[in-house]
Formats: sequence, C-alpha cells, structure tokens
Amino acid sequence: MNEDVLIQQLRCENSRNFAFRQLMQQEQEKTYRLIRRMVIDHDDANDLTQATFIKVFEKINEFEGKSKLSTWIYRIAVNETLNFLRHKRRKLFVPIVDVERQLSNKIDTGSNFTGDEIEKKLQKAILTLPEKQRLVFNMRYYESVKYEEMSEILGTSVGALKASYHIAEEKVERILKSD
Amino acid sequence: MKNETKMSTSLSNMPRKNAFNVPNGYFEELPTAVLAKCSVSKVKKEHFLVSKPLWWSVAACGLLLLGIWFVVPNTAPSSSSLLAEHDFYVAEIWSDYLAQRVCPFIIEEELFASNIEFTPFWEEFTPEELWAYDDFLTYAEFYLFYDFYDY
Repeated sequence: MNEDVLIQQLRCENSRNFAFRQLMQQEQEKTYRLIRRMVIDHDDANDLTQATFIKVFEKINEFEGKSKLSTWIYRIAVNETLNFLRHKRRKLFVPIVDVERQLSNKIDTGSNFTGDEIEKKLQKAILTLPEKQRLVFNMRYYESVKYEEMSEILGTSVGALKASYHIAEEKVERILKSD
Repeated sequence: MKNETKMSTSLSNMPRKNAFNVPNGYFEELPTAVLAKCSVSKVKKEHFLVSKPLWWSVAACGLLLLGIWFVVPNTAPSSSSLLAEHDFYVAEIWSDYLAQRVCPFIIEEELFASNIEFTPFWEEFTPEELWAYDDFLTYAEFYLFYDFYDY
C-alpha cells in the first residue's frame, strides 16, 4: 500500500484500525528486532514495541511527513529504548557496566536466545559498546539501514555515524579475535 | 570446534542471522494486543479536571477542614494573654527581689533603731541554701535588668 494512502487512512476514524494493522504488519518485526537487540529480554522488547506503536497510533496526526513513516516509527522506538535503558540505570543506582553485564547474563540464561557460542560472543561484544554506538552498529550490521536514514532517526550527521560504525566494528572485531 | 570458532571470529565471515527468538504466533497477535491497549488509553484519556475522583477528593477535603474548624476548640493562647502572663511573672520576680534584697535591710535598720532582738534572715538558712538562693536572685536580677530592659 502507498504510504500516503496509509497515512490518510490512519488519520480517518473509520479506516484507522484496518490501516494500523497494515502498518504493524509492515513494521513490527523490524522495530521489534531493533529493540530486542538493545534490551535483549523478550518481555522488555515486547513492552517497548507495544509502547512504540501505541505512540504511533496516538500521535499519527502530528506526523508531518518530512521523513518516511518507517523512519518516524524507528525514531520513536529508539527514543523509547534509550529512555528505558536510562530509567533502568537510574533505578538500579549502579554504573553503566552493571546494566550491560545484566544484559550479557540474559544472553547466557535467556531461553529465547538460540545462537551458538560464536553468536553469543558477538552479542556480548556488541554489549560492550556505548548505547548510541550499539544502536548504530545494530542498525547498520543487521538491518542494513542507510546512513542517511540513520541520520534522520538519531539526529546525527552522516559523517559522525560512519565514524561511529567504523569504531564499533573495530572494537567488536578486536573482542572477537581476543582469546 | 576451536578452529571453527577461530575461523569465523571475524565479522565479515559471520552469517548475519537472527539469534533472538520470539514465542510462536507473537507477531500475529501483536497488532490485536496493541489495538486493545490503544482503545483503553483512548477511553482513559480525559482531562484531570473533569475526572470524578478529583472532585470527590476536593469535596472530602473541604468537609474535613470544616469539621476541624468547628469541632476542635481553639486552644492556642492569644498574644495578649501571653503578654499578661509575662507581666505577671515579671511582677512576681520583682516583688520577690524587693522583699529579699532591699526590704530585709530596711526591716533590719528599723529593728536596730527599736532595739528589738532579731535574727538576720541569712542565719536562718544553711550556707548551701543561701548559695542556691543567691543564684536564683542573680538570675532574676539578670532577667529583670538585662534581658528584659536591654532588648
């Protein structure tokens, strides 16, 4: 379905629910996976995905159409995820490393992670990256999001994003090659 | 196994697979779950000034305040009664001071003049009692002449 038609339907009371289901079918998986890679736990990812789409549903009239609808949804998802992680950090009153260690433990103990040892090592290496760098790495490496789109989502210049991805990639490689 | 791990521990060699699984039928049920929550939040979204619990709590607080105002007696002393009490104590200390410090000497002089036998008042007390009494009078003096008048 054409994006403009979808937006019009989302803004119309009668067709809203139908259009919203269409939109969710298009975007839910990508959005969920982005969130899941950041928070690791399925229940947290589920809550954040639902919160993202509830916001999309409520704020669709405020969408100005300056970017693609998917970019806008991604932006909401990123904000929700970063807020969640910050809140978790504040709640625990512990330094950054401990939250990341907690997430790393979830990779080992979580029942919904089916990756092999190498995949586990990769995920743990990604968890050592700073939050924004981790976002950039996940978007680029797993979802192949273009730098231009990433720039709109994160509000950072393309050059900075390229540099950030390059640094992240090097760090992950270094960790993977160690021991 | 170790060789296999070493061979593939480079990002370029690794397959970009998704190792995070979701429960069966999760993505099929997600739109319904989200839409259900959207309709709930839509119903809930009323302005806080319109909400009934707010007005009930305001009314209850008002009634409680009225009850306190009428039922509980006003026991706090007024400033005029406090002043009167202060004056009474000052007068009491002052009269005590006059009676014990000034008057005995007047009375003693009168007694000397009339040649009547008398025992000086300080001889009726033990030295400890006199010291304690002197301390009290010094305090009273300080209170009357410094604390009260100087401020």
